[in-house]
Amino acid sequence: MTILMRRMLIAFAILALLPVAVQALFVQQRDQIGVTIVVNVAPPLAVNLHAPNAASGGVFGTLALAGATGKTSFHAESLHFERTSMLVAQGSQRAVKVEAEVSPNPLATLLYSDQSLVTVNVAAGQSITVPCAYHVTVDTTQTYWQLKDGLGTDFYGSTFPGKDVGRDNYLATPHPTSSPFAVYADDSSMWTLVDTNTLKKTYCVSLTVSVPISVPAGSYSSNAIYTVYY
Amino acid sequence: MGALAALGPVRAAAPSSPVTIKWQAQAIVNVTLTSNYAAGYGSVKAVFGTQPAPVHGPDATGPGTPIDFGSVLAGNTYLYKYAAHVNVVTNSSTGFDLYGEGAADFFNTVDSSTQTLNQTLYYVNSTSGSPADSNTGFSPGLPFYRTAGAVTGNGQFTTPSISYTTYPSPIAADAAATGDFYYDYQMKVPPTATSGLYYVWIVYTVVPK
Repeated sequence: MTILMRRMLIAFAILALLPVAVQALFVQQRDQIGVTIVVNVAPPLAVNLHAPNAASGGVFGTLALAGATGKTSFHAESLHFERTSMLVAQGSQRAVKVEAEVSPNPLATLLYSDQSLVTVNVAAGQSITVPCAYHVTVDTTQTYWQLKDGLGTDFYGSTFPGKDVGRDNYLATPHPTSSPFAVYADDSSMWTLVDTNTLKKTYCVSLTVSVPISVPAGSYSSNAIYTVYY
Repeated sequence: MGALAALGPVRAAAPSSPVTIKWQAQAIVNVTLTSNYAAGYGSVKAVFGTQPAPVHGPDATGPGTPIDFGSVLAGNTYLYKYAAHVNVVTNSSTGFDLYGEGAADFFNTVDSSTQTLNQTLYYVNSTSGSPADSNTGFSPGLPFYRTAGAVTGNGQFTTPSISYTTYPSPIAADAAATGDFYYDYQMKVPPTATSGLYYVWIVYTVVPK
């Protein structure tokens, strides 16, 4: 190969790749959405199986309570009442109206998900994978765009950090493993690049949620944030 | 007392029979719901960084009036700051549960279409206003669900009520007899939502434990 040919090939490669490089350098944020991930944490399974005692309401506790709440007899000449702490359950309600005037949005379908809420039920100390929990779609005529993701916050501080949730974003075939979400609040306000692509693409997002055993039972949430740039 | 005296003294040999008495105390529950409860109430678009100034729709004219997000765009997310304050006073020595549910899905008064409530409206813990609420439209929230209870009186201008045979999961619980709960509301407007004025009633129910 002559020097001239080599220089022509290099020039051609530069000309071909220059627009992509320029686009990558000068992309701007165009849209951003959030998908709420709610994790309902149940008590650790081991607690249910191995902690029967009178105080916690296990079998022995039930027997003890039954004995303590047996019938009480009174004689008329010594009638007296002992008030217990039992209350009649009578609720009270109040309501408020929530309103909004919805208008069309030309950018509503630039970046969207088929679910704005995903709920995962798991016991503390357990891990669960939800295949293709939701889809994220970028719908544009742009020939180059970037999609980034991350969690906005942890689920419950350092007790249940966002990194305990892994995700696998894929177009057609799941990857062998998932990788933890970056957490915007913890990771220098940075998002993670999911992919660079072109035109309309839909990603399947599989979630792997691993709940530390120290997490108290309850509902925890965080927002998975997706941002498109071009 | 006079009646007892008329019976005369009870003799030890008088016949007797067992009497079972169930003594139940009537619970006292007083719930106060105040919408738009602090200065600065209103809706902001979800963004990271510097937050825009809250605005509200025309029906949100102050405490006790509707939580009106105003004009929102399909596909966008909004936070409504200082949306609802629930004050609970009971005589329950073991506390109470607070339930919050929608009477229906988010209803479009123009074309009667609906948006699934738990995909649209969320609540986020807030403050009384001091210190100021630092939530954004991307703060983690939990969804309001459409109730499975029996709803009566639900309408655009009529306040509904819900009768429960089975209670849902409470949105809050308190071991004390009284409590205050402050909430922002978050709205994720579905990208496919048709244009129009939407509404939903959020019903709070308090039940002593």
